Amino acid sequence: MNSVLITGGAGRLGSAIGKRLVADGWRVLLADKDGTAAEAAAKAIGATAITLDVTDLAAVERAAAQHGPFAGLVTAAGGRFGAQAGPFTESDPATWRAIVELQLKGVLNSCRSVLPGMIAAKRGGIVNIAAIEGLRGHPQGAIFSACKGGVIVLTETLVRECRPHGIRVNALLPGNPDSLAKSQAADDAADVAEMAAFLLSDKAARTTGATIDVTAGWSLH
Amino acid sequence: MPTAFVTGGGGALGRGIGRALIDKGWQVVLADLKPEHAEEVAAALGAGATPTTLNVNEFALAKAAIDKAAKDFGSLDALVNCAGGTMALRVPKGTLVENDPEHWDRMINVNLFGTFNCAYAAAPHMKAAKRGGIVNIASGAGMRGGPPESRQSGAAVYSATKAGVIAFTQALAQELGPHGIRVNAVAPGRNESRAKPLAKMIEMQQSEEAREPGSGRASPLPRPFGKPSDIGDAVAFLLSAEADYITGCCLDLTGGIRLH
Repeated sequence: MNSVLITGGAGRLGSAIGKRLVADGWRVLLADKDGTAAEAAAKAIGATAITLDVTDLAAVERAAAQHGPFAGLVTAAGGRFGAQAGPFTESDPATWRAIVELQLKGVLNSCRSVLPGMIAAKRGGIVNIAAIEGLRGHPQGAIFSACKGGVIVLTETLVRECRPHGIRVNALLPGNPDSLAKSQAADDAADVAEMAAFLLSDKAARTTGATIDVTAGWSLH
Repeated sequence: MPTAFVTGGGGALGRGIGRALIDKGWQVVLADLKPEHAEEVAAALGAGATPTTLNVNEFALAKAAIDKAAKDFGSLDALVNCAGGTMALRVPKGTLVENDPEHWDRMINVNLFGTFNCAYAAAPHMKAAKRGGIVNIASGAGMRGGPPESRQSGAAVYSATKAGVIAFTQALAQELGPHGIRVNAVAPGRNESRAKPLAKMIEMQQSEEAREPGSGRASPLPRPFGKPSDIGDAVAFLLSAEADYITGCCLDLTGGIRLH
């Protein structure tokens, strides 16, 4: 049975993706800085849970060593932290670092920790949860946008680094409150989970380096 | 005479940008981590160039240097975030898994926080004047992932930070547009520099190609690599009245390297 690590596993997207992957036969590990919430989410879907702060590289590496190797990684930690921080030039510079640590370095830490196991196994799939703001910077979240842009291009670079090892890396752009309102959807977590499950499956064997928009076309407005 | 503050002003790109701006009538403050580099470029550019020392990682220093430039020259009309261009060179070659995470912070601090710090410090001067221009130096790597394995140096994080600069540019353009401030980015590709003159660039490209066919990327144009003046001309254009309706863009200056 293949193992998948889902960071932000107790979150709205993380837990939905976990539920969908359990249905596909994955052994799912939900990792979240809120360990209690991760336990509850895991119990509900038949997964296991750990407490994990993705901004702590040593902790992520320990988790990967202890619970890995993983055939799958979904980086869903961070949620929309920083997305509505407000105008950049009115922000407190002391608030920028936390957004970068969670939204960009959290993904770097997770990929770096899980990749050695995938490289050794000569296979693996990574799905990075980015955001449409990474392709089109948003004035209410300039730092968030910068981080998500970074995650999208990191995904592309990792394809080049990982292709010889049989590892595929893709990014997903889930909706945001605006796109949900526009498409009159209450929640897009199940749709995002469906796409994540597809990208981690053999059906997507020839899909790597893709940035897939699950915003119901919001970015076209 | 309008004043432009150019970070990384002591480097090859900073010099190209300084030259182009001075030729168009700008007063240029060249800020560099290495005082001797800023002084050398300022001396070479002559009248209109003023060197200063700055570590863009430090917000308080960036604010003090930019405030001083605005005070000394009476206005702060443009900011060019060019520091960090050579960061990748000082990061050992390797993949995300191989690189030392300490190097990630070096690139994140200069390329992202350096840009944030200086933009934040410059914005109040421009808002007060109800006009201004910011050009962030991104990279072709920030538009389509890092270079292939044969010549990467911290490529995964370097390209991520440059993509961050592009998305930040788009966000800031929307925020500052109502104040009459335009914010754009340029994405240089492979350029000649002091350390890598044309002959060296051609030699590198040929050895990449020999090692891994297809990896030695060059422009489809007769001139295979860019020059600092290419970047300078583009920056001077984006800061000029001719570009008055251009904001939030990232101008591809790779000479078409990204097309293959």
